[in-house]
Amino acid sequence: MWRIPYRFAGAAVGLSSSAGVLAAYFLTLAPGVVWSGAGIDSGDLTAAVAVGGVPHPTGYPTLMLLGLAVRAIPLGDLALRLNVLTALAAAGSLIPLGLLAVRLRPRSGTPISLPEAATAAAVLTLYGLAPLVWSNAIVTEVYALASLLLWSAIHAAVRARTSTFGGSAATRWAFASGMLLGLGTGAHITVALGAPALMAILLQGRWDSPMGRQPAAVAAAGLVAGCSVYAYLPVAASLGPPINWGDPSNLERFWSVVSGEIYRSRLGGSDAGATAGKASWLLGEPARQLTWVLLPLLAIGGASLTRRHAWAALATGWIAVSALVVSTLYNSRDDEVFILPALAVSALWSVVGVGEVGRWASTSSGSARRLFTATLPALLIATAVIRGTEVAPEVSMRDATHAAAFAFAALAQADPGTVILTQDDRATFPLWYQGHAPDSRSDATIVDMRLWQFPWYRESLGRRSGLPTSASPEQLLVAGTWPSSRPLWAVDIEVSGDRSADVLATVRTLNEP
Amino acid sequence: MNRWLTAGMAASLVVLLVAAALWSSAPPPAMAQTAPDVRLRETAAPPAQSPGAQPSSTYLTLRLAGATLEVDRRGLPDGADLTLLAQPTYVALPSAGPNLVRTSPAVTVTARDAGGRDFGLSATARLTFNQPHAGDAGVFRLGGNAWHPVESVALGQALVVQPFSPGTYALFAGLPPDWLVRHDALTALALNAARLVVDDLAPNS
Repeated sequence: MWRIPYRFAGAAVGLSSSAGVLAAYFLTLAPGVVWSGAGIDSGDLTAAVAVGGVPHPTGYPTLMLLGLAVRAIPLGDLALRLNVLTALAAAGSLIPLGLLAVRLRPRSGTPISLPEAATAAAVLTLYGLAPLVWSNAIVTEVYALASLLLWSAIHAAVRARTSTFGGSAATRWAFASGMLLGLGTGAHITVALGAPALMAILLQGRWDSPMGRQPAAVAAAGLVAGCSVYAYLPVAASLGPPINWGDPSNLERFWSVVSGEIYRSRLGGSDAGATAGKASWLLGEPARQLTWVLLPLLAIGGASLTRRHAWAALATGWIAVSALVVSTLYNSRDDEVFILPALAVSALWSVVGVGEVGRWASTSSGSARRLFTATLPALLIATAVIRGTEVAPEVSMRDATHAAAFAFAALAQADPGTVILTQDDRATFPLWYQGHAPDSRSDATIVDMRLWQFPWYRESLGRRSGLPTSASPEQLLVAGTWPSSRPLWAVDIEVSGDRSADVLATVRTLNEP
Repeated sequence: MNRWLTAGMAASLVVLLVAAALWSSAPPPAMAQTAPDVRLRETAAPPAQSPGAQPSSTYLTLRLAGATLEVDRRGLPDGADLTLLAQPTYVALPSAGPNLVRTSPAVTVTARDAGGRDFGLSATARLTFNQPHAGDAGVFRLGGNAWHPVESVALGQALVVQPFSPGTYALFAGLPPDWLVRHDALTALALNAARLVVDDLAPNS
């Protein structure tokens, strides 16, 4: 039977699943900024990259810095380029998961059989094709990059633990793990919840000796180095970009942005029954998102990991539970997305479960072995293919051109000096992106009425557009003091479903210039 | 760890996940958006405002530069009027066939009676779209970042009248049956109305 040498096995599993899902992602990739559920923030993130600005809290400096690098590539629309970056990050996140799973499987260090590798790759492909993962992989968002960096950090920590104790390789991997976690925190702040997992991997059973604690100290130093990406925020803010959420140019505002102050009211808030109902719904997500087929493998893998590597079970279990808690307690339009790390843990445990079943089969009779070498890979590959075919039409953003068309049409028709009032992300973000695209209408001003409440927003608007900020435009209009030379429009958004085509944008004029 | 205890934990995990997947129901989605609706400590004090004053709001009729809406008023009740709501308005077409765009910028017409209430038009209502200036193509498609005039759609033909909400009707260009919706290019149509002729607008009785 064909066997893949151990040193290539993790890469083979990770890369093959990554290539498979990448093809699916590219076939369903959003062409630009979108209105549909998972990607409404794409307009904000893309516009912030376009102007070197600061997007909504917590600022996402790692994505911004990568985005600036992508912006320098003179090839096609920036929004599409950033969507490609997201797809690459999402597919790339399967590689550390593959490396990790092969390292944690039973009989680690031995060659992996082709059926086992194919089954493991199919499991990871199922994770990559989960609707929640897929829909966040095909439009500019932060979660794919956060996942890539989180699992790279965890893999590096496991490498540090399994390298020669006290050796230079262990030190390098420990530093890399901390650094990657810090960069991940810059992709999304919830990656910081991986820090206890990192410490569990590096410290469990080794806490007693100074030598045992050294990798954790090195990782902490790496974490500080990785978190230095947050320096981007005050630097960018000090340049006064047109998109500058929270204007984090001083310490107080920096902390407000990084800590997500404007979103704190979304933590908790609902009654205990509703919270329990939401938690139970989220607990069912692994079965719904990854298919029922994986559940037995997930349980076998979890049990196997607990028995053989308690530190790995503890670390990954912590990641899953903390994701469940965050997703339960945070209330926003896209709060379900915080469960993604728990889905990744489920996939990881399932791959370990594949290894455990493979170990049983290798010591069992001929029929059990045949069942493993033929039936299980075929079942999972077929499931992945069917799943991909089913989910593709549901998540595809290939035709999601409406947001860009709306923004283009609105700005193309705006009279000189028009001020467009918005009060919905779906209106604001595409207009921001379109308004800051090359050759765009620089005379038109977008005013988000929900951001009007913040002094930093009014200051920035007044400085950049010359608009009076003593009162809101609507109040000035009522008072009869709105400048007659500035046409005032308002955009209303009606939403009847989750698809991009289910959004109705209506423009009204509020004054007759 | 004891082998049986581990097996028991694994079985419990499966039961828990299965039960949660089978018997939990989706929570209502939170509507909170990225830009917050809640006012925080940075709230600005609103200025004084004359009592009862409201911002005036008129639909975007001025975007129909030079447009003429010709209404056969014999079919309308006394005092009733039609309001044009021009682009950019995007309306889903649930009944669109495979060769019709499912979402399109549209010109909508709202019929209101003398009391300002919306009223429905008859099912046979037709609005005719004329384009007197041949040089100004009235139908465009978006390709990349630019609108391109579409030559193959005959201008002046009847529009599809699609009820959108009570009293509001969206008008769509009647596209040729062989019009293909291409995923990469055709995204939306912009109707740049120059002249609308409305007839047969008898209200529903």
